[in-house]
Amino acid sequence: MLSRAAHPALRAGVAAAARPATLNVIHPAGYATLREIEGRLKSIRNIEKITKTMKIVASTKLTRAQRAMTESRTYGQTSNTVFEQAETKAADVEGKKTLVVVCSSDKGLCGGIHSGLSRKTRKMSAENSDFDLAILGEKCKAQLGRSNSKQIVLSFAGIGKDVPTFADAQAIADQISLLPTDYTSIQIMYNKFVNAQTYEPVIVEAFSEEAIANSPNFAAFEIDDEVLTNLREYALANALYWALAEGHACEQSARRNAMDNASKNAGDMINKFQILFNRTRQAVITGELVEIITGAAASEEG
Amino acid sequence: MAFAWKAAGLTYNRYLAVAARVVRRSLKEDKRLQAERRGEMDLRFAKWEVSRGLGWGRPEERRCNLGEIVLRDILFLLWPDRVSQRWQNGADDGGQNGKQGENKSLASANEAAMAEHAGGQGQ
Repeated sequence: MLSRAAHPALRAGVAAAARPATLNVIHPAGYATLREIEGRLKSIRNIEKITKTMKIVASTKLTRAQRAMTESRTYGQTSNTVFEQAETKAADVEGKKTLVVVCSSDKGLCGGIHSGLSRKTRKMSAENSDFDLAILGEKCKAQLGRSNSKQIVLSFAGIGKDVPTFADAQAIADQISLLPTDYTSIQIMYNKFVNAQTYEPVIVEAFSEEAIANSPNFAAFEIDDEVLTNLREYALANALYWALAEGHACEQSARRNAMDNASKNAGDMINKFQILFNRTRQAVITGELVEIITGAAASEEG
Repeated sequence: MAFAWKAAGLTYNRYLAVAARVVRRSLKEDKRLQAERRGEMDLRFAKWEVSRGLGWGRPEERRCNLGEIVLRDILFLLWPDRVSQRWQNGADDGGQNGKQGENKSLASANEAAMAEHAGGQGQ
């Protein structure tokens, strides 16, 4: 019964612009509907307040996140320069085991940013499912846990509360390098920040020791074999930090946009319902007036 | 080249983290507070182990609550083929029940793992 009672106001909201004249026919009981509309108006106003606040919070966080992203880019790019100069290529070993690190976060309400990553992962897994997954953040864990739970070896939580720190990236890199399986290549998937409106899931490669050692210009750096492991671990942490910071910036900007749209939609709905509310109230008043006048006329005649 | 920290079982990143912490702690008070905020790490992690052929394992291996077990048993009696297929390959491990969703603190786990690693090397 409850849902039935809530429906007329909803339907009326849609039909309001189209056929205001028939409103009285749909709602013979004007008073109850008025109260219903009022209730909905109130709840939409509250939602609008919340989404507006969330948008403001996201905007403030976005500026910080963007600053962190530009700073972290230095880490990633410096680390990449080494591999570019050495002309490192991914090792092409038969039966290689790949680890894909998906950088999402714990929080939702930010559009399709997490599902974009999940979708790309699923697409990859449909082509070739011979890789393991390490998932950062609860959102992608929940999404991929349903479809690819067999491939997951690690999952991390507690990401995205604040701007990611290098300590975060280091701890994750440590945990990944402590995994029992020896991965020949580690791919980090994150949302690349194109501009405030656009982002796209991309993959960066963190090279394995063999790949680094086999790169053509490797001799130029005069790196001892012993410290090669260090270089690899450090490069992984750098790449992760970059990916985390960029993903974080994307998330904040996506959240800002999502909340902006939500507030706009709420505003539209408020307008619609306000008009409906006024019209219905007017109709009720007119109806009462008609009743009074007819009553008065009838008693005069009699 | 032998590194003392490597002999102690630390990874390079851990070594860097410790070094960074020491530097941050030795700063002056006002700078230190700012710097230490950059070194905070509060992550949790979970290891996922695929239990092959879980289906009808020992009771403690069934990672679901009692209601689900009963439901599963009933369903199994009705459609043995379908149920076993769906549940035995572990596809229903949503991640929150039992071992798989257990989130452990990353920092302490890393320390423990490295201590263990070092202990193993020492012997």
